[in-house]
Amino acid sequence: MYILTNALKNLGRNKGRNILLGIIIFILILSTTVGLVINTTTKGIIEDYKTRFGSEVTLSVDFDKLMAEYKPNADGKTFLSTAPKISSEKYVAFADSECLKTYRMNMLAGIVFENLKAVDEQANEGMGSIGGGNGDYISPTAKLLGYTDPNDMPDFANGLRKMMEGTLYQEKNECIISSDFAELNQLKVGDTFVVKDTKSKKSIALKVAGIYADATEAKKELPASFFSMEGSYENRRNEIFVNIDTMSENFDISGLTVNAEYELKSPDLVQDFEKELRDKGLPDAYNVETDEASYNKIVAPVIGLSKISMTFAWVILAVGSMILLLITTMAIRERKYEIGVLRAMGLKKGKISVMIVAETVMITVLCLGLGLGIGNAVSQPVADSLIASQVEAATDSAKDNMQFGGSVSMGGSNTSAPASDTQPLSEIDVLLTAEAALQIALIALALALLSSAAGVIFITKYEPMKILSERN
Amino acid sequence: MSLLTLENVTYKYDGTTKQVLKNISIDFEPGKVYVIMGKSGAGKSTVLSLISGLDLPTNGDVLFKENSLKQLDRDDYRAKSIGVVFQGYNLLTNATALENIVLSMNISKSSEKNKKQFALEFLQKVGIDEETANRKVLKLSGGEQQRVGIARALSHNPDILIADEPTGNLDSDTEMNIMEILQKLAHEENKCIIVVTHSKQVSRYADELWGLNQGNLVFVK
Repeated sequence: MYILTNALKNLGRNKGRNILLGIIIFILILSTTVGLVINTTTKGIIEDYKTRFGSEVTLSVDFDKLMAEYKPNADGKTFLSTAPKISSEKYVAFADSECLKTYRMNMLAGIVFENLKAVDEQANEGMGSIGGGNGDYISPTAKLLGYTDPNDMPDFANGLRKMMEGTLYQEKNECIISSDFAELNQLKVGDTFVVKDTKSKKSIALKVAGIYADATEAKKELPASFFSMEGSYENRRNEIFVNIDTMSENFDISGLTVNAEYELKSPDLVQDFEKELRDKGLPDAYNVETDEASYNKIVAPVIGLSKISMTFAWVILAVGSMILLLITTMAIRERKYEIGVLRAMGLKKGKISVMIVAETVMITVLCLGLGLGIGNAVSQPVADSLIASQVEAATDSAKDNMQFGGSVSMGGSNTSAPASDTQPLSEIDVLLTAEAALQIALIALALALLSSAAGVIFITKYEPMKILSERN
Repeated sequence: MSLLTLENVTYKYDGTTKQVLKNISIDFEPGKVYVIMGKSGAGKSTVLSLISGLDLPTNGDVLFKENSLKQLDRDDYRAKSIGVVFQGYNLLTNATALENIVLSMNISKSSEKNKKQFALEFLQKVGIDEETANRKVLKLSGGEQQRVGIARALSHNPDILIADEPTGNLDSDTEMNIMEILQKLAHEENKCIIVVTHSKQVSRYADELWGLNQGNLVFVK
């Protein structure tokens, strides 16, 4: 205990030296705090965006590959190859992968009713022959839509459609229908009706689980001069929603239109997933991509900020540590006599070492408190200033890319295309996290040990008689 | 019984061939004042550094209670068994006189409950009042520092007190006073007092007087 008491007293006994030491340690902790606070915040943001943009897989047509397959026809003219189509079965097969965290899929089937009428069915009159002369062809009068995630059902999230009776479908072969369709056919919750898939010609009975009110436009508004080919099939009041299992287990998938979005467990799995898709028959003309462009565009300034903050912190730490080591080495030479006296009094080397380390730790703890407080306060303005310059740099870089050309990405018909209107992050809220505070405390402790190292080495090297005789 | 023994001690400084001490032997017993006299450079301070365990002989041995200092924990030995009054005082100059004494007591793990009070009383015995005791050593005169050095050496009640010119900076009255204290410690408290000096005044307090000349230790009286 007296060692610590003496260490504390020594702080006051050698004010000048300790103040100088304190200033250096404070500057080091302050700059490290600013650097680390910004870095941990930016790292979190980067990881978040990386997961968000790096996990959603896009199957996009590789335009360059199609271009490479330009071939002259019989007239000697070249034409662009048509992109191969990915079948609905393949989209379903792709979803069965260990690499995926989740997938979202929807299926569409054209249907006709047995004993029921579609809303606006009279609009179909005169369109009967448009389907072609094939006698097997049945022109669909309504749409049956299946979703893996009910949240993806269109216009429910934005409030244009709302459940007014019953519940959302829960079981297979349950459905929800529009109030207009229900009213037209005098259907109520619990009733059953039969629909037939126009492709597979299979019929299933659907039970009404709920009825929704629909405030969307029933049909697209077209100018009066336009000839409309839209019958009841395009009327949105005829959209019947079911669970995707109702579709996949009752109908032939090859006859359904499938939309799929895949989300990887980790962005790092993209190559494994691509290999799996190729094995399952994904044509070469398709690229398996994550939305790297949007990720880069949004996160580029933050990555720049992260790098600058860490470089700044490391440079200050490296230079500061050297200065610290130099000063403490010089300081310990001043304290040589004191150490000699203490050793002559019988104080053991270990205890003197503890005393010297304790002195530095006390200074460091004081500086750590100040450095964390002030560092946390100045981190936000520093981050704002740095990110502003990074956004400017990112914008300039984007302009350069626009001028001199960049990569072309084309979304497939059944894929989600990358967002093109993404904006770079222009502000971040930096916050001192417990993790960052712990890292700073450990760095501060390392600094304290480093600055004490000279003293400890000195103590173990010299004998008291040598020190005292030199002094005397 | 001998408390401390120098047994055929020879000493050479590192890298030199000259023997500073030549095969010297002496027994120190408790209850006596030993005075070792000699000219400057005779090897007096070397004898003290060997006795105090700050250094080890080139040949021979120093035994404390029949145990070689080579085998003993010399830090412990310095902290508890001996007190040293250095010629150059060797005090902690940035600390107060009082802090020097208390720290010494702490190092020796003194059992005194109120170390501060005990230290003040001890300082008063050697002529240092409370106000002076609370001044930094750096601000004390040479004489005052010497007294603090003596108080520090005695503060942890050692078996042996070693003093290198303990009265060098003191006036004759204080010198007498200090030497009387040391003599009393030897005769009444059975301490072993070893004083190295060239002062004839001091030599008068010796129970055994030894002369050190060109590395040889000679019994005088």
